[in-house]
Amino acid sequence: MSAFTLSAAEWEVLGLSVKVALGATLLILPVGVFMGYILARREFRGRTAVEILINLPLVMPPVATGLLLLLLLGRESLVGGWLERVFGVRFVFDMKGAVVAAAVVSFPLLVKAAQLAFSGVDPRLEGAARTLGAGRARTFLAVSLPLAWPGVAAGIVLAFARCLGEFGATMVFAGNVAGRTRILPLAMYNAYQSPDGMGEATRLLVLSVLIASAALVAGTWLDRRGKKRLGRVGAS
Amino acid sequence: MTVLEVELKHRYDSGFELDVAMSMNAGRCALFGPSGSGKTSILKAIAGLLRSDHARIVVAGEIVDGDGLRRAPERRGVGFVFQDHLLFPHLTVEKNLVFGRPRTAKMRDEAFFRRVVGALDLGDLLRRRPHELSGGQSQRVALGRAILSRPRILLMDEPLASLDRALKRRVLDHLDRVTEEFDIPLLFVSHAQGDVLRLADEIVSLDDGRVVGQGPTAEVLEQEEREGRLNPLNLVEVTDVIEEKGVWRGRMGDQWVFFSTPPAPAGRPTYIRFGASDVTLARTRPDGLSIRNCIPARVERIVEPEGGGMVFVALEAGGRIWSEITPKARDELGLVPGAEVFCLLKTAALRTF
Repeated sequence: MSAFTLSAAEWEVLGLSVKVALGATLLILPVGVFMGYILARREFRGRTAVEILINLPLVMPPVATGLLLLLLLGRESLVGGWLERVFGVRFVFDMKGAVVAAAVVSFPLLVKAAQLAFSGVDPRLEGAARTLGAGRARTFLAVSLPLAWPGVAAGIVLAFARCLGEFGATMVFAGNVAGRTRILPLAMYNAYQSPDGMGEATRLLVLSVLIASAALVAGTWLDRRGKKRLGRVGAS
Repeated sequence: MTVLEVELKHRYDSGFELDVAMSMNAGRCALFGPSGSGKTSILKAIAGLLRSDHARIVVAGEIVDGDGLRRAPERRGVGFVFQDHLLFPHLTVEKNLVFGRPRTAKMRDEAFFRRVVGALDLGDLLRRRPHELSGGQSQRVALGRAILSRPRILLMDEPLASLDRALKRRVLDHLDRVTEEFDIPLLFVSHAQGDVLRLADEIVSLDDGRVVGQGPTAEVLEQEEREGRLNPLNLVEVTDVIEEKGVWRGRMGDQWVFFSTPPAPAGRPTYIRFGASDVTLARTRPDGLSIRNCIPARVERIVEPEGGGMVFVALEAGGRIWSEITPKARDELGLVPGAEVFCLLKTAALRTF
């Protein structure tokens, strides 16, 4: 094993981490962006409760979030048991569990960023779009979203990065199973805990830095390209 | 035909109360009144952008608000040109223009698009972005965008406010052109008497959330003048304009009038605007004066504002001219309806509009 090539085990960790982070980000993307829009634009009863609920995973210790998920979706729980009996869906010791854990902890970051981005869009532009015959959906897709896009893209990158960094909730809820739930931080922790594992932990650390940098570069690219691409949607 | 009927009641958190009932019959109608009188709120309510306590709004014979029905803004057929235009900053001018274009009948639309672009001189701007436009250009784009959405009525919020004289003339010119060519009724908000006199066929006059007068422009303004809310303003159209030694002269009735600023481009009407206090009256044609304009006229009537002060004399001189004089001058000159006088006007005081 040279310094510049990854071992099979490392490839596995890397692949799993990216899969989990991508899956979680895609899972929360539509709901998170829409939620951000609603919070930026609407006053409604129970708004505070909704905001608290969304932001809870941001301020709670991740381990507590994991435990909460276990109570809600674990095999012994009402919902989790039902899901397993009816659909055969299992979260614990499964990649799906890692995805759910990552999704829950990164959700508030996406919502917050999207809310901020939509708040920066002049609501009168939406009114103008409506008087031009655009319904709510088209107004959102052709005006609000493109104008909020830089902020929303930043939120997506932030959420993705948070998924990659997930440790506590995943450990408690999904477990630490090689090939299924052992994403990068868990693998790093494992290596560090094992005798003579410091070298391996350091390799994973470097990998971690590389992925994080790539995510940031991708975010900048997404911002620029997306602005142009979505700009065209409005004319169709 | 009645273009628009509006009944509106709304109480704001600030305590301001809007309670209006108005109708619009003519092609160009002004919502006229001081700022804070609720003009913009009425436009917003018509467009469906303001949820009011009570509304009954009928556009071209069709109820869009009222009777338990409240149509969404996109289903009202009401075009809106906002005071700050609200172009979509992420779209080019061309994409802004076609944003509201109906999705069907593409073939006919292409020709219509070219007509609108032509009428508003937008051809050179199509590829630009909104931030690259001047205020006047951006207003034209907003106007074109609204027209291309094929509205049944066009609303404009203060289209003539804060424009310099040259720009205002171009805007008026474009407004003339599009309302004539595309035959769209226009309801616009204005607080400036001169603008209303020039552009509107009909006025709804507002004060503090209430309608204080509505009807044909001249009648409503005159009523306001009589009630002392407004001082008369002169606006006359001149034709056959020619330049002469750095000043211009144009025909008003069978009289020539000299004025000091350039006329409208060929083919467009030229209006001259001056205050009632710029008009001096004489019973006989004076001699040896520097004043170039000496126009024979007949006194139509004399208006004394409630509460006294200066009196206003309405004169027929091939066009209506108002003169503001003291009660004492009226008595000394023996001015009564039917009296023949001469209106003396300094060329420098007459400016095109």
